[in-house]
Amino acid sequence: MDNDILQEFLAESREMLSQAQADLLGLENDPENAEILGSIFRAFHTLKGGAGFLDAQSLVEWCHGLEDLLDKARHGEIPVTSQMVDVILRGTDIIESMLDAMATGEYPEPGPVELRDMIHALASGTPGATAESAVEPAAAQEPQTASENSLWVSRRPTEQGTEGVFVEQRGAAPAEAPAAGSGGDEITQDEFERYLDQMYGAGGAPGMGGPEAPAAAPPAALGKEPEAGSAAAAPALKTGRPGGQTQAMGGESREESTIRVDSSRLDAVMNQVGELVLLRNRLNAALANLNQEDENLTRIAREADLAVNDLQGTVMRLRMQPCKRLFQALPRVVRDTSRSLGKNVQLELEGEDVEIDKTVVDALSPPLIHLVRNALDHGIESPAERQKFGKPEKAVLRVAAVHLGDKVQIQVSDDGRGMNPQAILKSAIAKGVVSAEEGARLSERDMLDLIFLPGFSTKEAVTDMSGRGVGMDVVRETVRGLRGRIDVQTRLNQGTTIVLELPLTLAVLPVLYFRLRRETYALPVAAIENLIEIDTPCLHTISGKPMYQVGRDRVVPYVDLGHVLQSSPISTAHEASEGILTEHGLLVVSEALGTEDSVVKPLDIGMEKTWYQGATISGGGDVVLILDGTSVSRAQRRV
Amino acid sequence: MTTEKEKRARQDFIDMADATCQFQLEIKRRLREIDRKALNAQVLVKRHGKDLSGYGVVAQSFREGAGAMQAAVDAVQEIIAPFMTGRLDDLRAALQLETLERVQDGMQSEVAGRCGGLESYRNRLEEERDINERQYREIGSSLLKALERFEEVVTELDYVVVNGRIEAALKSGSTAPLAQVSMDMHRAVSSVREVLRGYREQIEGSLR
Repeated sequence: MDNDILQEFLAESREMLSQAQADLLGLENDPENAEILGSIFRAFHTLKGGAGFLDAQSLVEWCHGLEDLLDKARHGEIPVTSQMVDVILRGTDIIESMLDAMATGEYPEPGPVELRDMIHALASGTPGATAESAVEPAAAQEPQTASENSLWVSRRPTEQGTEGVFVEQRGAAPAEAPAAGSGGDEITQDEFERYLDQMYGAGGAPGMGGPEAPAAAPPAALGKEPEAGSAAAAPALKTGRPGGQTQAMGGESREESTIRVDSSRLDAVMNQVGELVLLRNRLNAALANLNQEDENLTRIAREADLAVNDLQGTVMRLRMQPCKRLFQALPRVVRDTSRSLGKNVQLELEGEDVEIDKTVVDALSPPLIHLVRNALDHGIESPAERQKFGKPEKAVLRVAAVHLGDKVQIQVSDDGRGMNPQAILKSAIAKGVVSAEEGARLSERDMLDLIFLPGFSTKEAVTDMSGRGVGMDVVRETVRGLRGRIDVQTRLNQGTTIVLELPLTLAVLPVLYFRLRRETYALPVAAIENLIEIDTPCLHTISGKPMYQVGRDRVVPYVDLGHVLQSSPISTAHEASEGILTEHGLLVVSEALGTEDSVVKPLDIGMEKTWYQGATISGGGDVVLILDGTSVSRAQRRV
Repeated sequence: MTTEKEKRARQDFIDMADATCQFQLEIKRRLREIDRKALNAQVLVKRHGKDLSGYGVVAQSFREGAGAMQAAVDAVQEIIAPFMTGRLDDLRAALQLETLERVQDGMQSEVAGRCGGLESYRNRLEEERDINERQYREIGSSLLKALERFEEVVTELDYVVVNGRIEAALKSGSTAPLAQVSMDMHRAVSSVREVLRGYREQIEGSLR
């Protein structure tokens, strides 16, 4: 297969497939909706056309089966049922695995026989067809048995080893067949002749007495096992399908204004912009250190500054993707999981158009699915239990994306049973995660944080969905790896909200430089609440730990970075000192110096035991370590 | 034995030295406070990204204003030391002259007539006192000019702060901390103005 064409096909197919999956869930709720039904039908039809272009025969056949089922539903011959949606959804899973196979350069294997039979049985209106049967992968075999009245066209080697086009008539009585040219996939004899003419030229098809086409037609789509004639077949397949043609024409204007670009190229551009940002910082620092002011030079530097900012913003936007992509798997997850758990759940998605960096979208998808499954399994009660508590039988699971300045918040909320901090602590003590003595010192917030410890689970019975305690720590680590933070807000019997706060982009990190005696460090501004003057009377000791009173009613841990990073506490009475207030405590430094947009360079050391997120190059050209304030505060709290 | 005049002169000098020391400590602390507030504004802008990009210019102006204030303070500090020294010399010359006058007043006229050197020494002391006083007043005048310049810088920053408060009011829907930062900045700048006014009055009083 030609790699460029293949990649384009895979990307488009995956988009179409995910849209089809979303449409299927919509169809389940609104079975009479002809528009959705038509949209799903067209998706499989287009997929089939593309697969035919690339000679992915198994995919063509699989799509054909689904398309046929949908066509019958479209014409009102069979009703749209939940069972049918279930089967088609399983069918889309098979298509996904076929696309995965094609991505590795392999031709896909035929789909599982059992599911294929199920699809055919549903299409033929056989009442005994069940969607609950297990789906086992099947070995490669001939195309499915006929269950309908149609002309089945396939291209495979003849006994002589040459390429041949085979036409079979399949199915029941001719009276049951839908009218030719009705928009379905069945074609009349005339259409079939035209199809052959388009493929091989008039009268040139194999077996028609004309010259052997395979020898004459060089393959355009290069594959591992190139099949002669496939290149010539390509345009025929594209234009031979009315649905596909419509799609292509409809998308014409879009094709003119959009372009698919390999994401690695975008990454490269982003890295280059990062280097440019560092250079800009150095230029500004060098200008600030000039003894005499040059107005012209200053103006040029400011303009360069603006140009770099604009460029950075533009490149950043190139990598932005709507959260819709992140949320697209959730309806299916909620549907399948709630069914298997016997729960009645309504999923509400908000902020699908909020945009976020592609890296974040890619990395966050599995953790988000885990959070949703956790909410369904642990948070939301069974309908009977909900009734007992006077709650509506149907639970609400809300997943929302909210744009907050240069951050995006992803909220996963349920109206379930909520979390009991004491129960979490009890479970943690029982599992030996914390000692009873340590537990006695924990605040409710700390108790809730225990759910993020590796191996922790409050659920007595481990289920298929969740409860193995292997997920929440991974979720937190993923979020932290994306320079984000995770927070739990819960109220007993009212529900739980897990908040993931993530930066809009990972390309540039705004930092505050601070001085710790002679050394300079950086701290991400996202972690900073305020800069304050250290007022000694506000310093207290609680349970042997230094704490600082901020305002009237807030007490936070007092983290002396001189002690932590230089093993020598800062004497606020005799040394310059300043406080950087963060969510997790007051970090005491010598002096806050200034802010700058930095580019993070990873540290080539084991990150687990360090308090640094990475390093950057300051405007002065120095390598500066970027502190992870959260790690430092947590470590101090455990001392 | 010191006269009332001597006592007053010494007390004036001590008061001025105290005021200068207090001014230096206060201004250092308050300038650091202003710089911290300006940094807070910058951190806030960075945290909120493009939503507060308009305020970014204000935050940058805060920092530049804080830098300009520091430069103005440095100029004042440079003059304070010679001013104090000049005041000390002036005071010393005045005291010496007063002591000599007391000695001359206590002498009998015929004795005084035989000590012609005393008169010439007195004349020299008077000349020195005049020169010291003139220099002291010149330095004092320079100090007042530097303080005026400092006040101008404070006024300029105050103008930026007012703009910042307007900008914050316009964006009040998006973030409350912005209004808080602007208010804190306003307070910090006002307190510097108060300190500056007090010190200026002290210097003007000593030059009268």
